[in-house]
Amino acid sequence: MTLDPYNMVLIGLVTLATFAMRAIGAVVMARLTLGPVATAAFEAMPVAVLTAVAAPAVFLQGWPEALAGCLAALVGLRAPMFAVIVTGLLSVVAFRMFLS
Amino acid sequence: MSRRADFAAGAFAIAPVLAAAIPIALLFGTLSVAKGLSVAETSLMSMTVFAGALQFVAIDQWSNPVPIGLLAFTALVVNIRHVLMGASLGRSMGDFSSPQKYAGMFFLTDESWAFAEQRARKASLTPAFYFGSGVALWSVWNIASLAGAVLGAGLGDPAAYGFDFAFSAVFIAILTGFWSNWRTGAVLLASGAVSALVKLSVDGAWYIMAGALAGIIVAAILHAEDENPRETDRIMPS
Repeated sequence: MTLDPYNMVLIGLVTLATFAMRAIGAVVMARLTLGPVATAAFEAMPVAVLTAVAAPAVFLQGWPEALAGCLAALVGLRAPMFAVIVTGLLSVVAFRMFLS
Repeated sequence: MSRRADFAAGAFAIAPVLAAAIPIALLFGTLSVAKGLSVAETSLMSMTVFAGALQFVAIDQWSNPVPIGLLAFTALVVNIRHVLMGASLGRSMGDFSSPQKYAGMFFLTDESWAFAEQRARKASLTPAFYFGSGVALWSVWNIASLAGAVLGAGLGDPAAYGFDFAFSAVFIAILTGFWSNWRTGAVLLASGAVSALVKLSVDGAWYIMAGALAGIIVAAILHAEDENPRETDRIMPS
């Protein structure tokens, strides 16, 4: 059980950033209305960031990762979240065995 | 309804989400320990941050040294959707005192937000109901994340189980949940392509900001050309 001071500062920083986003909406923004362009930009942010984080790890590593990623995404059109994760993990292990 | 019954009703309403959160929190604890965080640090993060997608993004970036600026940027941007959710939910929080509102926002997640909005459409949203679902999800998330961290510490090399791919799998799973229409596809394509190109050509983690920006710009452009704007319903369960 260890708590590194530097890691604690980082966790604190992420906590603050997260709480700020949660509180600003209810306290400040509940009185404002956004135009359609701003709304679209706001709504796209999580998708845009998550895709930017994940795309290189899925498509730039090799065939097993890219194929497993596509398969998981297909499963995700129908199945719940955990099934998508399990599909991704099992298929990447399988593709790595057969393709390398 | 009494306050206690309302609290229990909130916790019961969110029960399906609790079941779904357990394996994901277990996985988070396991991966966090594999990334080099201690069991205590993993638990601390789950207790104070309490945001699934962001916690995965954060520990994914947990290298040596941690890029602080990028970590703060992604924390803000990944959770910026909560600004919109809070803005909408804030209008239904007439029964909340000011401290209750702030405390309530700590428990804001995509899931508890959706259930609270649903409740607010049928009856008035009481603090007891809201905190019932918030505290239930927080407790389950933390117990499972701690269990995952303890189990993960004895697991060994994560690549042997394909766990090095787990971040990607989790992100794909979250992304499929965000899918609403062809515009989502356009945003995905723009962010993914720009992020991959920048990753190939520029050192460092700039690819995240570049890809994110490309996706956001595409979303703004596409929406500006659309004459009948309607989105926002994607996260509500039926």
